[in-house]
Amino acid sequence: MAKGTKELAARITGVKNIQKITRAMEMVATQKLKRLQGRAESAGPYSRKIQEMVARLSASVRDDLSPLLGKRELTRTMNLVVGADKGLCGSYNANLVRKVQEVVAGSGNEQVFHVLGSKGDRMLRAKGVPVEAAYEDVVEKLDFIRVRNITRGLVKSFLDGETDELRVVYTAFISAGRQRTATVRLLPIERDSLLETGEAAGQDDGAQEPGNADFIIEPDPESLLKDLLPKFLEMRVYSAILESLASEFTARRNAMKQATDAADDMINALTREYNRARQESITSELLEVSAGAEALK
Amino acid sequence: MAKDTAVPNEVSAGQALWVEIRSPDGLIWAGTAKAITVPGVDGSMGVLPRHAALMSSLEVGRTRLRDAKSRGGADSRARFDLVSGDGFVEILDNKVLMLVDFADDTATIDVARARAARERAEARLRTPGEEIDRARAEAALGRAVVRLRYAGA
Repeated sequence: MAKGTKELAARITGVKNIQKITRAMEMVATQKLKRLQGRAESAGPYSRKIQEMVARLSASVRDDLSPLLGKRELTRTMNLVVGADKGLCGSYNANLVRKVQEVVAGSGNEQVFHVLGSKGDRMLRAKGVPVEAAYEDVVEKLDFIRVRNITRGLVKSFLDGETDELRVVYTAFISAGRQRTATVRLLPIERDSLLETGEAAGQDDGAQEPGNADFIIEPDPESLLKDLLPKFLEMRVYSAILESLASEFTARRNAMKQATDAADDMINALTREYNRARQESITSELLEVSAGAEALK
Repeated sequence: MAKDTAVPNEVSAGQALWVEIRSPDGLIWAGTAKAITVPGVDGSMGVLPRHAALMSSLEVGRTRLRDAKSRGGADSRARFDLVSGDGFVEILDNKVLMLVDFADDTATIDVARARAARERAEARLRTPGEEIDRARAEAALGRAVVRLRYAGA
């Protein structure tokens, strides 16, 4: 056989092997997404209910009852960026980096960044974003206790006055077909935004409108807020990570599907080329044979 | 999610309570009850229908339900106890919403498993390790201990 066909055959095998990997990754991402959806559905109602409680409670107390409620003059903003631990998920990480750059560009005060996900961390550092701390494996191996510890650290730095605002930069999972990067302010807690999102969640019946009942509060509003607000923040961070993870898996599944489809096209094109080359070599061999036979006459 | 605000008539009429117990891992129990006792931070708190609106922090402890009927009807025991973790309770219009770290039916606590979990956690705490592992072990130990305290009670 001619030289070209061997090389083509090797390339076809190579592309087929790559396709096997991308197809496997696509399936893994799909499975992970399914498992995650179960988790998100379990945590969702709890998180919404806690938000409703916070909304109702904070509507009936004064700002000075909890240091987490009061607005401050902004000098230093803490941003928790929820990124990915791995790449190969299309433009997921790049979009997040762009969002962070927007945050940096649009801010009038000092911005500090804590990053979840080693891939996100590397990409942000490469773009010159000042990353103060990075946490590996929090996203990929999601664990509530770890999220709680990180959140506590961030809340503490707010309470100690090291930072005056806490924001989360993450990828909101709007639907299977739509995800987009977003920033939400977690601290200080704004009661107005709580009421809005509480109602927007649409899980309330008429009797549970915020602030329409005189609640007996035990042991007292201050202590209850002290318990409730940190829990609420932990759930907010946890939900943001869950949503980002769902977005990441979706992005990876789509990217891997595209790669698998592209590999198909490539295999088809290469196979055509291979067949043509093979036919050419057969034709030329035939010609040589018949020319040889002709010469012997 | 199933619409969990489909509350039976007897609840709106003030003859029973609607109880929902949730943890971050999902819904633990939902149904009606004639009475519920929850572990408030200032001591055990009994709740009957037509209770005043209330919000409270909860401690780890025993939650008792009386004349209970679970939503699905699968759980037919009229009275049973749960051991529940830290959390909150909200009572409004005969609806009792408990948000807790965890809750286990005391009748179904696997004593052998809880004991094994306790030993495992204690062993892990004795050996130096990463901070996160310690935090996890402490949480596991706390749960195992309360499970054992209320098991079969």
